[in-house]
Amino acid sequence: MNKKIDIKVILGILAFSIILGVFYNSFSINGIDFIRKASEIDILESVDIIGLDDTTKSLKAITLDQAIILHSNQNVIFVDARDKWEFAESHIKGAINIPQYSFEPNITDLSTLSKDKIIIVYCSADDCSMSKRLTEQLLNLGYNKAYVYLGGITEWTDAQLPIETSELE
Amino acid sequence: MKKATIINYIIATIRLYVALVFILSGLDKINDLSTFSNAIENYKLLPIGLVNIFAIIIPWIEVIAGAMLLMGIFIKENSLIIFSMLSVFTLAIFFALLKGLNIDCGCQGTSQGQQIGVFKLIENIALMIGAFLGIKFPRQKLTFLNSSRL
Repeated sequence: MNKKIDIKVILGILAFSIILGVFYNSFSINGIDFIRKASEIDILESVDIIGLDDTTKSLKAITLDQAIILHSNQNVIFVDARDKWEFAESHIKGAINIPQYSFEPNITDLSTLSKDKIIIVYCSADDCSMSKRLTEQLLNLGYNKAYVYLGGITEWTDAQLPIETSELE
Repeated sequence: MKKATIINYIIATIRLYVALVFILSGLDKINDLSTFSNAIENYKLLPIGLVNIFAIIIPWIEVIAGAMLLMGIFIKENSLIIFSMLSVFTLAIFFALLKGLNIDCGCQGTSQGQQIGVFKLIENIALMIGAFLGIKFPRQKLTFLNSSRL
């Protein structure tokens, strides 16, 4: 005879898993916040970002017009925070890839960055949070000149600005 | 060995494989909850406030259901839990592909990135078939306890 599914057993397994998950997260060093918050961000009003002496570690964003000006400057590094597959498909010309998904402050190779240079971090568009999170992480590591370009690759491509593809590493 | 016995052992082996996949992927996620919560957020399917709650709970359901399935305890119920989870994961990948996202799937652990794509969908569907066999044939060989009592 075919055994019936016991809903009480399923609820018990789920309840046990929830309790273990909450317990582990509360006491583990790998624990995360129970409620994830969206990063708060201000749009930078100053057009002269190069000359800006900003030591605050608050998250700031730049607009498309500011990004265009900065793109031609040698002292500015564009960082693509998306996954390696998206980066290989299309990215802002000259940008480097530091996927936020797998970013580990002590492991990720940051040798291509410099604390003296302006770092512009972007992802897909303003609804993606990877650029904000990576910028926060860079600010915490002392990269005080890191900013978010909110429009991301979508706005950049729509404006028909230079993009390039690359080999998947 | 009778044909029916061989089939029973094949079904049990499939159950053990599905269980191991879930245990290992769950443990990998538990080891790096932050990366797993990033992976969930990248799908853009959940409100941001719920992302971490799911990241904290899902891996433990995977590990507990996987471990019980491995031992042959409540095979039908645990297979149903795993089948349901796989259905949700597969739909999430499907919708992400429809949206044109080219993200890391966060499916089987977080230590090695895996791109979402058609191959991932096929892999999930194969696992769903494995879990379905557990729902359909709960009395199996290779169990820790006598499954006829559970």
